[in-house]
Amino acid sequence: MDKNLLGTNVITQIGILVNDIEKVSQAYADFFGIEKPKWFWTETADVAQTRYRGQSTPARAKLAFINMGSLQLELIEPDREPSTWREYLDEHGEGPHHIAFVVEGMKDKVALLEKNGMPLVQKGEYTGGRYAYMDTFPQLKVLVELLENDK
Amino acid sequence: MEHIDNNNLVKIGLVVDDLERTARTFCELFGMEMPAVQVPDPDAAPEPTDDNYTWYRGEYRPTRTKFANLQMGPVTLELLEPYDEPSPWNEFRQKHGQGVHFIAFTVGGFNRHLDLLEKFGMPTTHKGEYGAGRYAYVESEDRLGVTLGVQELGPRQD
Repeated sequence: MDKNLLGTNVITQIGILVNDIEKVSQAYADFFGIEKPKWFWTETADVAQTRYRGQSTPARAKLAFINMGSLQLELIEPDREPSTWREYLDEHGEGPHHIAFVVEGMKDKVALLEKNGMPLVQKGEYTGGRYAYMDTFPQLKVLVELLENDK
Repeated sequence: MEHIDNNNLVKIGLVVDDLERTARTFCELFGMEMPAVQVPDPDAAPEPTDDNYTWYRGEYRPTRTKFANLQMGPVTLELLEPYDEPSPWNEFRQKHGQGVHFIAFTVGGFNRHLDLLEKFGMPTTHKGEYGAGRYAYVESEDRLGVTLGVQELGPRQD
């Protein structure tokens, strides 16, 4: 395998799939003594341009972020449309889905990982940046999400 | 309302079938040195003492696992390859297969936090003491979507 492909090893997010984001957010808020995070929908298909396993999908998810020191914990409640979130939740139930890294040069990084046997599963746009989930499960036993933020 | 004394996530636990192999892949991909792999004696199970025990689901028993820590920025990624005997990691593996098992926080006041977690409906399933520190996992998957771990480092605090 090519070495240090991503140019970083700093985990910036851990993403957890849940069935009821309201309920789980409240549990985090109670136990950690913080304000309950406000969830929001990911962008609509025209903005998000989500592609899942090579095909366009209208899938969206409710997201809530909780700051936990050096990283953020991301709660994800997906809708019923096809997505890595829905697929993983249906297969595994609630639980951790990915760890995320901020990278520069998204296209190159995706291509490098693909060349090393870790294919793109899903990608999309959000205000100010874009993300890509790579199927690193066979190698790393967890999915890796790449995040690229506009400068 | 009373709550945990900080929300600084310090460790993510990843249960795997082949620790050396997964660790090597992480190290290559992220440009890190191969970590030291801690391997318990497969033939000898230590007798529990005040300064060295593991307790799992109601009894003192050996709960052995190979483990190695990867420093990924401020967060430690702990890879665990449990032995085929009852333990929280093996329980996770049997239920979910390989994957992220827990997120952990360092707290001051170990027992106080376990009591507090119990009050929140998250009872302790496992705890371990190794002299220089102690750690526990609680039943939190239903509430938080993930197993929560807490650890206290240094002398025992109230």
